[in-house]
Amino acid sequence: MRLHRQRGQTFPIWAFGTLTVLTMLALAMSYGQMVAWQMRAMNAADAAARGMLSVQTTQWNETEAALHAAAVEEYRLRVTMNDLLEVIRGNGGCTSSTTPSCATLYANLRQNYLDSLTRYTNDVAVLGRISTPTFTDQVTSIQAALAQYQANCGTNSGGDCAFNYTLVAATPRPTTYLHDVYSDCCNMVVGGNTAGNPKLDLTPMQIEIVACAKVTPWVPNFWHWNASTFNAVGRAAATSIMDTQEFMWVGSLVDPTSTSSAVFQASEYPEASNNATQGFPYNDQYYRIDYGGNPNITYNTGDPSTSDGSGGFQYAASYSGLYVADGWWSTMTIRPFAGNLTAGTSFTCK
Amino acid sequence: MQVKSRRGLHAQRGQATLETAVFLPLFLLVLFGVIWTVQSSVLSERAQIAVRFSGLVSDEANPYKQYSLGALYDGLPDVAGVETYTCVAPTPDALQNDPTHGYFPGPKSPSFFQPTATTTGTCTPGSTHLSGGSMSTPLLFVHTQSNIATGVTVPGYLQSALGATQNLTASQNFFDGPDVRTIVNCYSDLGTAAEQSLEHEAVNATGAATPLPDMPNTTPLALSGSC
Repeated sequence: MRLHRQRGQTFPIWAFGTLTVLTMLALAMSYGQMVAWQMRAMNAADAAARGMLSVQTTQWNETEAALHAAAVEEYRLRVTMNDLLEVIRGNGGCTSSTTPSCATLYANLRQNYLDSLTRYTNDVAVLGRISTPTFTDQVTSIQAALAQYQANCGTNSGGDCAFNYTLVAATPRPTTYLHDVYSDCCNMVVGGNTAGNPKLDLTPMQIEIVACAKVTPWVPNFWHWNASTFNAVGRAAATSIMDTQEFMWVGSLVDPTSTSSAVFQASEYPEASNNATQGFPYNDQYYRIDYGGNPNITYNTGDPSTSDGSGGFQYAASYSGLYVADGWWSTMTIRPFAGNLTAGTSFTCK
Repeated sequence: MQVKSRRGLHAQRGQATLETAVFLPLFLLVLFGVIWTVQSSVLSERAQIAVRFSGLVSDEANPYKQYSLGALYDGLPDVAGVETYTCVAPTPDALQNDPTHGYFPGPKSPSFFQPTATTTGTCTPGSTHLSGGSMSTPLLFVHTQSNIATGVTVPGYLQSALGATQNLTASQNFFDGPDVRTIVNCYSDLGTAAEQSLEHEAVNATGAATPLPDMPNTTPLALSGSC
């Protein structure tokens, strides 16, 4: 009996032990592969999501930039026309015998007016060339861009070649967790309509993108181990947000990016051919263009709370300056919102 | 008969030794393989985290410099010059959960879970665009290409099959919408128009200002060559 117990005693133990560690190896490899691919899928989805909202944010930032240029020009035109009237009437101290004479000032102002009008026309033309797609067109553009992002994979203008990218949702952003575009200081609604029903084409969008890859497992099939292909799925959502709102008199606030600590729009002297103050004998306060912060107008301190500007996304020109209330658009990541998704139906895998 | 039985007994006792001699190396090989797989799997996942860190931090918006009126003035063609971008490279801290620089919470991983090869994290930022396919107009982006390369030493008993080092790499190209500077820089018609108005540039209009065209020009703004 004792001999029988010793005979072949270690074989089943070793066989079982080896099979166990082999199974552990297969599990460890599978788990490690899955976790790494899952993280890679998340990265792929995140890498694409925010960029695709460029369809909205670029359009709005272009519009904001062109509007600002046009508003500055419009204010300049307005003041220059007033300057022309002042010179024609001889206000400000110029006469036919002073140096420079009223005729010289008029000629310079006229040239400035024509230049200003040309630039303003150009600004308006640029504004007209900025695309203003409908909400549906924006969604179509995102789908087209995403397809190219995938087609260009492996290059500077493409994503991760292992994945298929699908736009699974694109909706107007609800106001439940982020305020909508109308939520500025004065409850104005961009594009008309009402705060509760903003114009769809100008409503910030939220999108969700799925990146999916069918991954072949490292572990080969053997015996009862059947490591089937698995899907690495990453979901990422993003929305357009107003990154910055600014309210200022552009003639009194120092541009923080200026190396000379200059204000955004310094005073101009359109009556002079070199745009420099001519000093006496005439009083250039009659002709000078001040964009705000004019020390000769006591109530204009450059502070919106005490100046006569009103809030909202607007460019308000008044005799006391140019009051700017602008907003610049960016994107941010948000939680996925598309609910339950099904591979093959909601999205496809590569 | 007794002699024969004793011989058989010796043979059976030797069989256990033989079985152990055969299975023990195999068992240990697979067991160490499990340990090594866990080590390299953890680092593979952490390489993806390093790339994620790089991409998301590089895309972090800077309202002051990127989305403001200051950014518009600073991006005007005659001020900005050639646009430059910055990014944050994937950090080795991610591979070790190293809290030294404040990016990761720690505690630092045991040495077993740290890479044994030199870690190289790189990032390349810039602007790019998508066009073609069914896109009606090119679309402008900024992007950060993040890469990391590291490795772990393969145990000696596996080196004949896998080589001395297992290289672990991860990369991803993170896209974002363009900032104001990039927009003004890349859409040169917009940049030029803004520059002329904001800087009060003389255009020397003669006789009369340029009239508005009879029909509006709806040609989309074109991207400049460098974008």
